[in-house]
Amino acid sequence: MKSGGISKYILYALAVIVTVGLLVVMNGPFFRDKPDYPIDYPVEGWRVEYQGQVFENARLDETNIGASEKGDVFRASHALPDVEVDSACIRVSTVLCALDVYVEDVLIYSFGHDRGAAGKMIPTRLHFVPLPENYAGKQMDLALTVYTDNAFSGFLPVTVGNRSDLQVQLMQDYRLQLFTGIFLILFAFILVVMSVYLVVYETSSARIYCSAFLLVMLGFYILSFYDLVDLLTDRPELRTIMEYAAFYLMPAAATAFIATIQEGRARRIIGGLAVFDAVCAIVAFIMHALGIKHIHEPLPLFQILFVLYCVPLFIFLVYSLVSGKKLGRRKSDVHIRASEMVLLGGVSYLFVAAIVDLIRYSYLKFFSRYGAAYSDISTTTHGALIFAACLIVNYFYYSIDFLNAQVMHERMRGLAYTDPLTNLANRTRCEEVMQRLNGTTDPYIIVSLDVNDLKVVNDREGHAAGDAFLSGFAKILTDIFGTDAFLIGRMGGDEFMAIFKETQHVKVQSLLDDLAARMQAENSRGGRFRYDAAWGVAGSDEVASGIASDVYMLADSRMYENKNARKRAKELSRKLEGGRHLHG
Amino acid sequence: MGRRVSFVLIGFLAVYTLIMTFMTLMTVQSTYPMTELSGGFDVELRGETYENIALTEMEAEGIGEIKKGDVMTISRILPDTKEVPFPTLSIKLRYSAVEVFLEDRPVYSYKMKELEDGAFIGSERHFILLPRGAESKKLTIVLHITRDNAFRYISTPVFGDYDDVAQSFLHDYIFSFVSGLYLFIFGVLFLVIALLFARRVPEMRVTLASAVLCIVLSGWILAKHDLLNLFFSVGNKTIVEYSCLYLIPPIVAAIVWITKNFVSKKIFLAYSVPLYVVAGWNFFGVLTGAFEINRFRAPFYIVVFISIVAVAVETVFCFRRKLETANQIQMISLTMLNLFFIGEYVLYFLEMRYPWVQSHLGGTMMPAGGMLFSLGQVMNFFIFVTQSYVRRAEAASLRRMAYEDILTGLPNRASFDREARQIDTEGVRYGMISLDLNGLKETNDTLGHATGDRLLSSFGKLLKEVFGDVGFCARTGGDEFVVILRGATLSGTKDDVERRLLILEERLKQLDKTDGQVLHSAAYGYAFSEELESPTTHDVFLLADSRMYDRKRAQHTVM
Repeated sequence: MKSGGISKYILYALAVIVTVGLLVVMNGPFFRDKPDYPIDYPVEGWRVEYQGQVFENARLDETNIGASEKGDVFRASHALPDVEVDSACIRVSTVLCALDVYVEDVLIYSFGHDRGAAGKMIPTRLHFVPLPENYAGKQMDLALTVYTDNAFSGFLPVTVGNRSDLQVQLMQDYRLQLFTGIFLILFAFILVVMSVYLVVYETSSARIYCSAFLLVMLGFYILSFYDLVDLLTDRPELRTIMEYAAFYLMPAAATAFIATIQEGRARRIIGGLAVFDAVCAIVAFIMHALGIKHIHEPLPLFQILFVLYCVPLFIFLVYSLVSGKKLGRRKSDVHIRASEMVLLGGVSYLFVAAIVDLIRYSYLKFFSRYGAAYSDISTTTHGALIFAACLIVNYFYYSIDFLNAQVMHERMRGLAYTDPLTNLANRTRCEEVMQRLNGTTDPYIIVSLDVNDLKVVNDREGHAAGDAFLSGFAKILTDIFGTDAFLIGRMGGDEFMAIFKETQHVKVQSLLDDLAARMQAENSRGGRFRYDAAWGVAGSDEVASGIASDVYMLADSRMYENKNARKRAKELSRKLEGGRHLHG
Repeated sequence: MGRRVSFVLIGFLAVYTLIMTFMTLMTVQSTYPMTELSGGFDVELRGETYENIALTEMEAEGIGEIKKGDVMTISRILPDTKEVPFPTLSIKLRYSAVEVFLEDRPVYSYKMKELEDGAFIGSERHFILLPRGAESKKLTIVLHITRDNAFRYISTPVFGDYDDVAQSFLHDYIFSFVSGLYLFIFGVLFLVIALLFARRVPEMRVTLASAVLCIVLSGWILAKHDLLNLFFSVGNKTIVEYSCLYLIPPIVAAIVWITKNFVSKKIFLAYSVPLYVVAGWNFFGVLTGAFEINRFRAPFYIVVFISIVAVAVETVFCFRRKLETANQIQMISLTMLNLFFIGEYVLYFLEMRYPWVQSHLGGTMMPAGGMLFSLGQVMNFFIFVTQSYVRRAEAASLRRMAYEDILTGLPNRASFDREARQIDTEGVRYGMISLDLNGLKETNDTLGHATGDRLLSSFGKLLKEVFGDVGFCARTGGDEFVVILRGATLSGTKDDVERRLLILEERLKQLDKTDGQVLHSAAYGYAFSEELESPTTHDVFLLADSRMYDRKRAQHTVM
């Protein structure tokens, strides 16, 4: 597949085009419905009244109110547009307040007082307030009543237009957020299902669950922030819980995830941070459920916590990225390093995105005229998508590395210990076995064998024949010794050895006699090769040191004696037979 | 096998749980009264009036075939319920331009201009906002039919508050909605990743195709259930719907092709090429305006049905042929997708025939198929793509090992044999040097194998340094090395060889100084193919080897 020549740069370019294209199409003005009717965005010319102060001709987005108190009522008034549209409504969002809407001092809409008066939390909600007929030019008043402290920090944008237009505009403006939020949640679900099988492969399941957790929190948060949950469910409480759960647990999710990338002490510390935040969040939820404190009340605490977590974690991430340390378990793993880099890159980008949004929020809240109500998390949305992509790539590399390790392990066990030519144990394995026998009380006998004339065969017929010669001999050895020997191995070249867990030399001797007989039979059959071998035997009881390799050396030296004796005998017989070549 | 089956089961369970969770969690209650207008309509067509009928029973009530150019008027008194803030009628209409009147006042119109231009009008779900106080007023819908047999019935319209109606609709199709969105982003993400890795990891080519399939699937799911235009204003949603639909089987076939999961190439082409032909034909029609995109649905259904059956059969064969797990998973995913595809259409046709069949199930068939397919892709991606990649790398390294001597890094004897065979076939001139490392056995015996290994590897390195640029150096045996000099001639190369051998000797002596433990010396002999008459490499080698032995004996007498 290396040919099929699409240059990889073309593919990279395509990747970039697709990514940019997605963002441009989703975020841009493409494929948007033009509204059927004019839409009005009254920003200027408001009369705003709160805490005893009156502001004439103010901008609605410049009313940064600061701290609100229980019982406060905030009023904003403006003239409705002169041009009337069909099925007109006012679209406005309220956070934790009750809303009353008047047209020409007549109450046309009311929300939240029942819950507020009962001490329950008033959920965040997007309102579409229907306007009566002939509303053109009349005055509208919006009154927001606060039932708990610190619940309000600014008026959200007011839009007037056709009901259908406004709905479509909402969906199309935030389609990327909607797609992303839903994707994140479902993908987390898929990961959890996959974890059943990835666990089978022993990849770290903690990491999968933590990444799924983080993805879900991100998804919840994105959906809630943009009032998109209201599309899916009628229950405002569900939406509020999603929103706050996501925000409160986000630090826990992020730190837990980062902890799974770390080792040792760093892992414990960071994991501890995660647990701490999770516990705080759970406490906040319990208090809400028991009615002690509403879920939004600890918000400032959690905002501080968020910042406190963000900063050191971010520094830590940058350090890890820059130094490349503390990554993976083995330094030689190029794949792990690359994959962890990608993941750290993804998490870092997410952090940067979140911090950017956080800074914008804080700036708006504390420093600008506009108020925090106008913050948005579009950067975090992109960050979440990129993070998901990095996560996928990381798993890809991680799996490769894991499988590599597995394969290497098997290879070690197989190849490292097997002589490829004869399939007997190789020298490494023989030595390892011998080492394990050191000092053992069980008696054993070692035979050292040397097959003759390998070089002759190599020279006469080439090395391939030499291989066949050796493997033929190995087969004979396995046939004769097979079930009785504890180990049969090739020590190298033409040297073989066998270990018997045996006390009786007689038994071993009879096997060796069988071997001689078998070789004789092979030779007289007129096979391709003539086999002739010398051997020496030594028992563990003959060596005082108890070291197996000494036993082997003893056997080996006896083998040499045997070899030399046989050579002398052959030469003698040759002389006697008058120069007749016995080596064919 | 058991693992695979249990995975499939878990997959089903997971998807089922997902559906149930969504159905229960995302419940909607209408804030205001919402009514299904199942009856009470007056229908007027071609001068005939049919009174008080249900729109789903049009055929039964005797309303005949609808022809292009007909104008059908449907009217009804809206229910006398409590006033709702944004009265809305939700109704799905096909192949018609629409005008809606409330008490003879026009309140809504759809594609009337396209009607004039004769442009293609597809099917659409309309959310018709009515003026406040529409309850118990007369509603009239005028349909300008643009196609023969445009529809046999109209599914029950719903009347209520905008929020309630919209939410109820969304809730009915929540699974399509959610999975459509998910598949789109999933497809794009995996597409980008596959593009980035496709060159390095050829297994990812399948991922490319699967990612595109997910995107197309999402387009179809969203368009078919009227969800697409909530987010994207497309000129004609029906064109998008059918474009995506026509693309699905070809991409499925492409996946089968890429993974080579077919039994016979000819049979595969026989049932796959028609898919492309049909798709191409339909796109041609749309682009040239020759005919509407869904005019020729019958050929499409036939061709697709055949390919679905074929793919299912290929899947069975996949198991029979004991293909790799990755391929099996891929085929199972595709077949499940196909089965749900069929399921969707079975339900659709059932609904056409028997309008009382709840179409809600139809909203879950394809999405479920899509989700399962996506699950299969993720599984494939993570586990098997990586496995395959690793195995290939492993095979490459094993191959290297087979031809490489581990200790010295030089080509081993297998490599040498291969090179020698090559030379014999090519018939070029060459020279050979046979080298024998002296004293290896003694070193092994007296100083141990570790030292012997060291001796070997330093000699190997040295040989490569001295001869590497002109010859193929290999370790052919325990202490035996060979250098093949391609293109070497007696006249031209001999002096160079002598020179280099001298350098070798010098370096060996140097090694003696630096590593005093061992004596570094080698015997060597060389021969050229020109010296013999039509020799084989073996002959030349033997000649070089015998000269090496001569030298060795000479060395021994000196020592």
